[in-house]
Amino acid sequence: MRNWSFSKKVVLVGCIFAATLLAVSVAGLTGFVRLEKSISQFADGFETNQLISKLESYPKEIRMLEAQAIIEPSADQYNTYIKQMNEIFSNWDKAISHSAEKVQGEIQKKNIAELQRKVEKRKELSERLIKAAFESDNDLAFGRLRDDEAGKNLEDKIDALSGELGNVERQAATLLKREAIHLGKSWLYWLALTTLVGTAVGLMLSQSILSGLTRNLNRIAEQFADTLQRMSISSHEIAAAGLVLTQNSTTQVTSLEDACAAIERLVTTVNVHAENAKQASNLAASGTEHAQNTKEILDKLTLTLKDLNQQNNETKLKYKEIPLELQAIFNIIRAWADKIKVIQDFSFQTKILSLNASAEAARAGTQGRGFANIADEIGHLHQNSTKAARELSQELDECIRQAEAIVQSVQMKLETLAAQGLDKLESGNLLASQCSQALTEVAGKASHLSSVTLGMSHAYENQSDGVAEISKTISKLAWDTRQGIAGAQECASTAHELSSQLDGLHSVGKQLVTLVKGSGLQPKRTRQSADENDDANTHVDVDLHTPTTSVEPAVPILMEPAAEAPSESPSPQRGKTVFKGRFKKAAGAEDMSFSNDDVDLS
Amino acid sequence: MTIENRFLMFTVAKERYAIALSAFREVVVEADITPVPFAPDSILGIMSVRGQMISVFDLRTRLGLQRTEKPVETSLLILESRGERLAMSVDSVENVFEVPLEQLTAPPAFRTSHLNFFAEAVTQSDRQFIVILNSEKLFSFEESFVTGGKVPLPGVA
Repeated sequence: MRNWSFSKKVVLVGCIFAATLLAVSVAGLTGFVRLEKSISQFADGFETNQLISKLESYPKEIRMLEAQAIIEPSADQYNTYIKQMNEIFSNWDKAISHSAEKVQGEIQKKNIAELQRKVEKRKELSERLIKAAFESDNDLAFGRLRDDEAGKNLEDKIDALSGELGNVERQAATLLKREAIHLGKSWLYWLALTTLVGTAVGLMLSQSILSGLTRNLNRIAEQFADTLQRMSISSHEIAAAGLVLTQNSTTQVTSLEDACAAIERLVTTVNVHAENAKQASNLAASGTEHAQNTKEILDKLTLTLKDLNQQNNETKLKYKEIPLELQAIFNIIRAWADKIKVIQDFSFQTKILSLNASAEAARAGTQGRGFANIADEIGHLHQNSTKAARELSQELDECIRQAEAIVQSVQMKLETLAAQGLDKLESGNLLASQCSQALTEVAGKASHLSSVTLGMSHAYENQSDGVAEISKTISKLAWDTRQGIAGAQECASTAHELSSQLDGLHSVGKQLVTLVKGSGLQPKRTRQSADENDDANTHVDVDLHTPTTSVEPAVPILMEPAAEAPSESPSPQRGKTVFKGRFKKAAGAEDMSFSNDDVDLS
Repeated sequence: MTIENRFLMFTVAKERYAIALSAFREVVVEADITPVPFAPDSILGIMSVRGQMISVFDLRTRLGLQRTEKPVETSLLILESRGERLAMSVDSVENVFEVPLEQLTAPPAFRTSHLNFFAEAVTQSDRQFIVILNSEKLFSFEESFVTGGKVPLPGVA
């Protein structure tokens, strides 16, 4: 019982509490219901008793009233008597009808109806009696009162019926009592049953709620322990990383010093470059001068070419005079052609003449035959001369055509020659101008180059300054890095401190787990794990300090944290493996859920 | 060699025609032709040759060809028949030639051509046909206009 887990204890307490609460509540509820029922029944019984007593009292009241009416029949009280009587009877009637409501049996109902009829009769009797009494007929009244059989019977009957009614009520009360006893017994059984059932239900309910609660609690405890373990590992890793950082920083310092040396060499190179740039600038300036000189020479060449062009144009003009001279020759030839036309005209005239002569000769008959011959001859002459003139004309035409062709060809050739000369001159001019332009560009570019190289040399000087600055900065950086190494070592030692503290915290976490889960179940195992935990702690101590000793020769600033470290410890890699091994063992020793989480770590 | 077998050759619309030398009087190259009002297209007008008024007709139009405004070399042939004279405009006068009468052949039927009416014979020279025109028929046709007589054109209603 004492070694029960927290959850079980809580469950037990919860069960007891729930059962008690249930029993009390059930008992209270049932008792309340029963009490209410009894009270209502009691009220009913009380009312019935009252009713019975009333029913029994009404006949007495009537008799008393009748007696009073006989004894003192004063005239002025007659109405009062009648009124009182009516009142009594109406009350009686009310009581009867009221009891009729309560009664359930068929016989009882019949009895009540009879009772009502009897009471009606009794009322009539009473009225008559009171009337007789006030008519001073006392005898009759007394007689009536005393001897009336009917009245007496009626009274008896009324009494009997009332008694019967009372009996009925009494019987009902007895029944009620018996019923109540029976009910009380059944209630006892019922109470026992509900208590049992309620306890069982309460147990189940509280079990389910509390098991959920404890599960969460367990998980939190496990996570807490787990996180602690992880933190412990992380802190060890930080320590290792700090060592690595220290090493890296040392290497960095060396690199930075190398960089310093390289930059100094760079400064030298930059200075050389600046000198070279200056020389280039000078060269560019001389280039510009040369270009200017060449340009002047080219300008002179252009002028010469222009002169040449002018001379060519003059020659062209002279050539144009040649066709004019040729034209003169043409004119002469044309004059010849005109003359030939005259000859042709003559020839035509001759033809006409010969024809007319032929006609005249024909008219002359045989005598005109000789003349006709002459006319024919003349006709022949015309034909010959026409032929000759035509040939001449043809030859002249040919001549003109050839001359024109010559003139045209000469003109064409001259023009081609002139055009060619002009073209060549123009191309020469163009080339010269292009050359001049190109040289101008060259000069411009050379001057630009000069300025650029000048700028370059300035830039190189600036660069030299800049590089010197960089060199300084890097030296400072090296210094800062050395400082950084010291910081990293401090960090490593702090991480170590942290890891040992975390180990302590881890054992606390385990205790918490034991507390939450209960140690009674696995007492032996817990003790084993605790032993191993101690072993692991000692391991951690040893492993953490080892890397610092390995860095020691590289950086002298590391001496302080290194002093704590035992010198016999192995390398940081081994330290890590030891950690893992410990956790594996611990996982084997721990609870089921615990080991599941530890698989991820390894 | 008689006058009967001598002919004067001339051209109209590049075709060669001829007329008997006996009907031919002379050639006039330049002349002032006065147009006659209300005369038919073929009548060019009248002209004076050595004091004698003669009417001039255009052979080209007479043969049913298109009348040209300016012929290349217009010559006027003066024809004479029974003391009457008539001038005929042709494109050019060529020459006088002689043909034996047996070499003349009857003209073929020119069908609807006006030539059918005026042609007398056909001869050949230098592989070209020469149509010899009947001067009498030319005269009789022209006289109908000049004298007012009516000679109906063949084939023309």
